[in-house]
Amino acid sequence: MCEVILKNVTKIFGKDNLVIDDVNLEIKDKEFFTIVGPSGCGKSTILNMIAGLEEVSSGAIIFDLKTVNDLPPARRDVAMVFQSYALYPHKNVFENIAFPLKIRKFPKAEVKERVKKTASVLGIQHLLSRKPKELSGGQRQRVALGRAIVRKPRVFLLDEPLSNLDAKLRVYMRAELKKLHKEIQTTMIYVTHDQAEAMTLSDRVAILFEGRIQQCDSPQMVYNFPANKVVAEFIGSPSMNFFEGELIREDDKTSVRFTGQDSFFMGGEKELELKEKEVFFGVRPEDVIISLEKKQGWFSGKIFAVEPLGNATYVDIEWNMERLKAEAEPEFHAEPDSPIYFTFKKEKIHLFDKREGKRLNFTSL
Amino acid sequence: MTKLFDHAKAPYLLILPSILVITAVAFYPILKAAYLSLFEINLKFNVNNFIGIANYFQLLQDNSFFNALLNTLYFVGVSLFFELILGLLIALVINQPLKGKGLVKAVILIPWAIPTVVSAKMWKWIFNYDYGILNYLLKFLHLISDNWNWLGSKTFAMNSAILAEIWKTTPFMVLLLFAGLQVIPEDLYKSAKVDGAGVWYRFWHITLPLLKPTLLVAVLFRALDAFRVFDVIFVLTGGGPADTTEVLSLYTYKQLFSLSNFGYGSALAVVTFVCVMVFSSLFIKLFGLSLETR
Repeated sequence: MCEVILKNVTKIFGKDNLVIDDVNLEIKDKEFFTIVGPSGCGKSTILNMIAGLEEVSSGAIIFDLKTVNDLPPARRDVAMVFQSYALYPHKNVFENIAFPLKIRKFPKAEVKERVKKTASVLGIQHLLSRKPKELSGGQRQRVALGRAIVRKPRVFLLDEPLSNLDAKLRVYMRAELKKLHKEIQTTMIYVTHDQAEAMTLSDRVAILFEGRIQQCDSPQMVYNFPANKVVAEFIGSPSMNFFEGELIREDDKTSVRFTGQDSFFMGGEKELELKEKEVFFGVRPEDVIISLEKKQGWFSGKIFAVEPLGNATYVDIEWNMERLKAEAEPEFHAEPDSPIYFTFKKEKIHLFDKREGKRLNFTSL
Repeated sequence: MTKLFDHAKAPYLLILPSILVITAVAFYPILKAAYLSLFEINLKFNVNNFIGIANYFQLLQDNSFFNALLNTLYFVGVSLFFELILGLLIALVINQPLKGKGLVKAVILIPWAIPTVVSAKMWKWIFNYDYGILNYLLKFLHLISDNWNWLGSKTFAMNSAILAEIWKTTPFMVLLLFAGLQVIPEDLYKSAKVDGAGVWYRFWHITLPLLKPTLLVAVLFRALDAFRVFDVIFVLTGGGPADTTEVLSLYTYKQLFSLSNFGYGSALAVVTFVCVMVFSSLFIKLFGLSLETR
């Protein structure tokens, strides 16, 4: 049971290296909350500050309405799982999982019982006498999780826990983590650079970039309504296509004119009350409609490459010196350099102002 | 063309140079010493008789030998004990993120960089009865009222030599242990902190067990080095007063080169060699110097 609040949290390393800039987050009790961002954006620093391993330069970290800024890690009652797993190489699995209990001087019988129970939850009861080096990556991962959950802490902090696993195991453990969260019903704060992990696991996601929270919302909202260009670029794979454009108003109609002089009709005056002129026009690959036959009003380009994935095929298109990716049917087939025609799903278009990259909201026809 | 590189023989051919060098500088001298130890040789009186293992029987009845052996063991034990504790303390300190750490590291290494003979000469002055700074400082601090004869007294001579040795070789210990500390992953400490482990708990349950392989290597290195101690004692006391600082190497040296007693001296050298061999193999067997805990 724990609600975690970060209030105007700032972290400065050294004299003037601002790594975390006025971060505000409210993480609800029992929530699976993810902080996602590219490497070096400060996400691990935030986690370390919540754990108490780093001090905050200013601002407050609040657990259940109590400020914990001055509490050492031991007294915050959090558990942390590290990317490296941080298992003690000289201790076996049992001793590793029992470590936090032994520090707290739990009676031996209870230690034994709790470790056994935890191990069976994670399916590692047969490995208790092994040393970490005798375990596979996935098993080590489970031991690290076991050491965290055995204590029944108020909050779990997970720092890129799946990043050291191979791709297949990572996807598998993702589901395990989600199920584990359901079972133990405890607040989890998860840090990753992998947007897919963030999207699949979380109740809510905060996108962190250069020490600032760019957006904090549910995965669906973040995907469908990215607050700015940074978020739009980061969330979704393959990423969104962007083109520079200019908003042109003629009579009652508003369109975006691209650098190659092609333009895309957006809607009538009433729907589009935008003051900005210079914009970034964003569209996800799945919102590009393509055809090999010429169609009235569609753009024309040239196929650069075709990437069949099995469940879908991505088509790279060259268009007026720019490149865009479109998602096509799995059966789609075409030779490079052949002409291709495409348009965009109007309701799925994102506009960002060119100066600050902020989302421009509009209702299209 | 005949095959110069036969694949079966090639590996032997490739290690041949090393074998030749080791034979010339290690095996030959050892075997030669063992051979010489079977003779009674005295250059002054032109004696050169094969006497079998008589030298070794003589050695067993030689009080000077046992005195030297005990002195050596005392020297090894005491110097190693303090080097280990001091070395570990300093290594732990410089492993912390402190300002000016680089400078401290460089300064700490200075004693190690000075040749032993030079530093021993320096210590000889420090310990000097009339002009030594040690007596001066102790008197200045009112810890002693009269000058003490550090190198001339049976009680202090050996301990003074040990002090000089500790000063010189602790940096080596620091360096080894510091290297050992640096390979312990930071995440282990972070994790232990979050799990509630205090400083002591982290030291006993993480640092010490993970430093064990390094500690064992360091102890072995230093023990073997100290067992063969020569220069610091030779310069400081020359074995005196009354043989209280006579160590094995010094006694062997005296037999060999002062008394030209090559047979008996060689027997002493062989015994020293065997001691070192036995000690290191026992040590490695007992503690298993594998890096298993890594």
